[in-house]
Amino acid sequence: MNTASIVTRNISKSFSIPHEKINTVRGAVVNIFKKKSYEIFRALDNVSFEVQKGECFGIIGRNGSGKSTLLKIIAGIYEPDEGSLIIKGKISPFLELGIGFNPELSGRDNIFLNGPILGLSRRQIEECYDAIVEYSELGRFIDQKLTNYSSGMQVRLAYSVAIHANRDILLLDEVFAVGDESFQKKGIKEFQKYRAQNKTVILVSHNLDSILHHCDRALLIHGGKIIAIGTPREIVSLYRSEYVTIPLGGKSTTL
Amino acid sequence: MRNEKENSWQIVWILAKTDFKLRYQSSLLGFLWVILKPLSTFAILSLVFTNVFKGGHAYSMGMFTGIILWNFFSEGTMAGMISFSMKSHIVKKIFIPRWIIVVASSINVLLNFIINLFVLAIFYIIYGITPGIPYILIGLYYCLLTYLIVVTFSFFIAPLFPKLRDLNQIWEVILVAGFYTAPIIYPMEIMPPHVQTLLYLNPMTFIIVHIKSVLINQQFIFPFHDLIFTLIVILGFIASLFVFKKTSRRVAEYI
Repeated sequence: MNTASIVTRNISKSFSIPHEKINTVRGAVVNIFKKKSYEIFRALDNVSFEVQKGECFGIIGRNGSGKSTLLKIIAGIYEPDEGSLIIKGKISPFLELGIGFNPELSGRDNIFLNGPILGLSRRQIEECYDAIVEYSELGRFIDQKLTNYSSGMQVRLAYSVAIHANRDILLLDEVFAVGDESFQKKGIKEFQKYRAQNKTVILVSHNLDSILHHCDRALLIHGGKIIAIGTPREIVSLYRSEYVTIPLGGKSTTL
Repeated sequence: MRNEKENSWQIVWILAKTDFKLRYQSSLLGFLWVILKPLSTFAILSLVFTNVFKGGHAYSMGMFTGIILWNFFSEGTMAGMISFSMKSHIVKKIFIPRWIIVVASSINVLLNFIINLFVLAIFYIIYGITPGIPYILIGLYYCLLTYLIVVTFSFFIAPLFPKLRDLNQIWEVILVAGFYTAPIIYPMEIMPPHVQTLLYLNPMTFIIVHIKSVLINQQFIFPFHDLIFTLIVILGFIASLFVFKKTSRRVAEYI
């Protein structure tokens, strides 16, 4: 039986970028007989890999290599054009912290807004509420509007709620560099707790040291294609030696 | 499985509650605006048209009833149409079932409608229009059908708006036409029969004609037609669910 948590098979995704953007009914009607030219940008090309349960799997690549698109497909935000995706377990995507946060509401209200979006039931939030506030180190500021928070405080609150969303699979996109040093240390401790609970993690980072330090395996992606999958050491050195200096630019065909 | 359904409805509720808080927390007359809109429409139209259609309180209460129902439809469909755009910061960052966004947008409009029903009831009592309990129940049944119609339309148009940005303007024009093709200001009887048939193409025409007849005239006409209409509404709702499932899948890509 396959113990993989995440299986992607031949995933491809293209975006069609029209040369003229038509986004009104009027535009569509007026241009109905005009030949529309567009570019097809192949963001992901035949991507296949597996992530085992309990593994920490790193993904590295240049900006524009397709990492975000891949993560969004795994998180269920985008649909692949081709290929299949199997996910065993519930995902907690940390693609961004504080999803749904509204600055006009208090910290408390934002916890109750962000929590259910991350999959926590109302009862779970009520049970963890004190723990969430304590972890964020916000104290009595929790009842203040978010507009009165510093950006560090907002991020600590978001991070604290996300930490308490207890799911099987984590998609982490560059979230370690958050807060001051003591807060970051707490974050790493939480991360190690996850690993101890045998949770699957996908870690996307430009910080190659954290990939080397935390991941069991890693993948290098460039131009929408998987270049290599291997040990973090292999992948990082491949990346550093060959891919860091390649000029950017995805493949595109003009029709 | 069941937990996820429960969580979905919790998200619907928290989104609606948040929208409500944001809308009214900083406005002084805040809550009063809810009843001010239909009340002022009624006051102005009543001033003009009670001299055209001499029907006394029965006529003006009928018009007020129609106005409140129509407001529910127009505000509900508008809110549904822009729901994805209003919640784009959530839809683009995490996966939540898309129907949650559309349904959540209808909750506050539903709440406004219920409040206006209470105001309507007060006016009825003042003017001595007291339909018996069975008629009130049938009236509430029509209100329920209206909600279903609102959600049906919302499901159809919500995925279209992010792609076609002038749809809201087009819809506003359609709504104006709808207001005048539903017998709100005028009684249905003044229209010749073949025109009446055309007017029934407007889904709210049936509701408004029948609810006026039930509540004001205490006449429950043609239960057979009610059954047919209910069937059409339910089928329309189911159709909207199927269409929505397809059209909403890639919404995150073009919000």
